[in-house]
Amino acid sequence: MALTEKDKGLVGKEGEPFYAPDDVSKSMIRHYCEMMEDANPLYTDEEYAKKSRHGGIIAPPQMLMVWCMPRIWPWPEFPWLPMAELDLPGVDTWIATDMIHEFHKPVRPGDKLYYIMKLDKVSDLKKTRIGEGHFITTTQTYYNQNGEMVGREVRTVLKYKPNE
Amino acid sequence: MPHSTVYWEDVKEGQDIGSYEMDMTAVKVSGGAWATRDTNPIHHDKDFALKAQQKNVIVNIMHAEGILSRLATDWSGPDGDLKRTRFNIGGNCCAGDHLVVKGSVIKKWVGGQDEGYLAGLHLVELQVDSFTGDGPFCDAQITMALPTKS
Repeated sequence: MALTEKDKGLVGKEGEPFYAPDDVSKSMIRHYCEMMEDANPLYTDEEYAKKSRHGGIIAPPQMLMVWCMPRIWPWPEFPWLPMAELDLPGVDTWIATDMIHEFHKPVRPGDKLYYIMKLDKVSDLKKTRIGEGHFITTTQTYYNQNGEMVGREVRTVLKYKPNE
Repeated sequence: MPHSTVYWEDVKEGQDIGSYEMDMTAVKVSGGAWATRDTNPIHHDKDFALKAQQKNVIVNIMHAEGILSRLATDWSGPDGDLKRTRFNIGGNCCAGDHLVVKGSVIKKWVGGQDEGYLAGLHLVELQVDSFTGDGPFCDAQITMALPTKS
């Protein structure tokens, strides 16, 4: 099935900037490292990090998505989710099929991050092993307070009707 | 504490990058979810997880990525930079599971001009896999930039 006119019109749409509720902080970095038991001294050892090529503590790059997780109080936030706005009649189950994270610039304590969500692509209806559906590709691009791109997430999701 | 450095010149495609193991207690699973700001009850509420056909609370995606990334930087030492992760989650890891994480080098190259932010960097791609007693949990292909001797 071809896409509806409304769905076609959404391809290429970008959401409003979505801001991290908190500045990047040493305490959140340490809580994260504690659970992973990650002893990389760039993340938690002030003295080591100061003498390193980074000149100070950096956040684990893979924490990128953590900073912009929405708050649940005092007001719940609902960032734009392209998946929720697309009609895609006839398909109702979804599965993430691909997720890529790119790390372009170090993120440091004190940084205030935001991201912009973009709906890149929606495929026509395709037959797959698990059912018929549409592949939806989105990019979340993360920036710091200076407007520098620090990284991005490219995610592909299959929204499908499972085989009978 | 001294830290080791892996130089790009010394890396061989196919080489082992070691492994580590961790007991995924309920504290680790729920604490990992909170440390990554993931409030879905399937990561901290056992009753909810059981109703969702899991045997206990399950590790969330951002925690899982942290687990795999850690092996990469444990191996490279702090002079290695994480650049890109392609992440795949095929199974689950529950509270009570014993997790094994291991990996190897699958590719070594110098970033080409067509590779954008990776251009000119001395790169390796790692395959990192994780397993519980029930089978594969998640895996990733992780691209790192390494220092050179010159």
